[in-house]
Amino acid sequence: MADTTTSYTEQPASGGKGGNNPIQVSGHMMGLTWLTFGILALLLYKVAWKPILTALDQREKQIRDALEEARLSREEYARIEEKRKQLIDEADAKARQIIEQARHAAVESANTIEARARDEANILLANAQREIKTAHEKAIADIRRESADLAVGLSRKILAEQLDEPRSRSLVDRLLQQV
Amino acid sequence: MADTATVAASATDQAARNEAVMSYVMDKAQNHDYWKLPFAKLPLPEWLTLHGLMLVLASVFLLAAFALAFRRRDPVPRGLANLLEVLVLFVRDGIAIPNLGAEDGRKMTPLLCSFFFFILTLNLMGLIPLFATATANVNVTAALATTTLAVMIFGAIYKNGVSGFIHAFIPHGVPWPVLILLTPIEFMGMFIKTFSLTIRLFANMFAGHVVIYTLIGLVVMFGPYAFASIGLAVGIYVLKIVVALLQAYVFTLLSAMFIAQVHHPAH
Repeated sequence: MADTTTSYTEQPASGGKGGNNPIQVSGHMMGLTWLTFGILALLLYKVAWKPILTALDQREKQIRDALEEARLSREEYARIEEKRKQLIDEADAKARQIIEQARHAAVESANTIEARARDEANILLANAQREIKTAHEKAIADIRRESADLAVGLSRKILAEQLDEPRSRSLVDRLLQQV
Repeated sequence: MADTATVAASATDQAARNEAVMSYVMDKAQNHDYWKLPFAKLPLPEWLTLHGLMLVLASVFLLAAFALAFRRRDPVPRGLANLLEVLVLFVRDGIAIPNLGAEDGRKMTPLLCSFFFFILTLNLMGLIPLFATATANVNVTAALATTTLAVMIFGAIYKNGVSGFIHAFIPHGVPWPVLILLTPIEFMGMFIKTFSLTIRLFANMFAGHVVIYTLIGLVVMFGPYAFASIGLAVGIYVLKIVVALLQAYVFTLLSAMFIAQVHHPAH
């Protein structure tokens, strides 16, 4: 039976310098842990913590910067948009002003042309009237002369016929008066 | 007579089985000067021992993992690097900064990260067959806890000077007769905290193993009747994965809190 027991059981290791009982305090094991942990912490600081934490901080900064930049860009865009709108409004106002001015100028020039045309027409009219008047006067003068000639001719004929008749003479006089 | 002999023999056999299970459980919890592999028993030097070897293996594994994960300086981490970075961020933003403040928290993050990852690796290694749990050795946890104690004491002296360090044990606005009682208690509290750190981690890891080996041992003791205990052992194993994570977190968190209490004695 004793043989069976030993076959089940692991041979207990003899307590060495390291202290095989995990509950027994062993300065050696503690020292080993300190040493391992110290070296590990140092190496990990170099290999892992410092680069990782730096990278994390950098990434945080990058994200913050990118967000800030996006905000600035948005503001810049809004400003440009505002300016664009303002420029368009200004251009619109200017165009309207130019059109208004052109219309004014056109009206003015139309007025001027009309006035000049009227003046010219007046001058022409006046000239025509003057010419008519002249012609009229000339015609009248001609008629006077013709009628005088006629009268003279007639008179000469009448005189030739009835020169001695005093009555005729008075008639001629009266006629001459009437002409 | 023959019956009596059989009964006596079976009783002796049962006793032998019980004895065997007990020594098996105790043996599994022991630190050895050999590493038992499937086909070989690797002898270890006396200065190293099995738990010491586990410490070294964990360190090598951690260094390799970080070197491998971060071999490329990629601004966008992927794969293992992502996982490790999440844990580092968790230690920094979940443990260090809330307890120690933004400035000290950032300074202490490397140490706390080392604690967290070292303890987590040691705990998880104990769950892999062939490997042993170094954190189930009180000397390992004591060494880690005294590291915290050293940071508490020397960090506070470096930060606040010797008088500032002593003032941390003299609460403000307390009448002097009470101080006579209170100051030694406060001072002893520092060592009690360290002791509690040691025992908490050690006991959690040690007990988990003893429970699993005992549950499996029940099969040896009671035969097929005890097969259900294997299911129970698997359940405990799953629980131990949670405990491994939790204890690494708790040790790191309490270290940060204890360091903060001595470094910032505002209260």
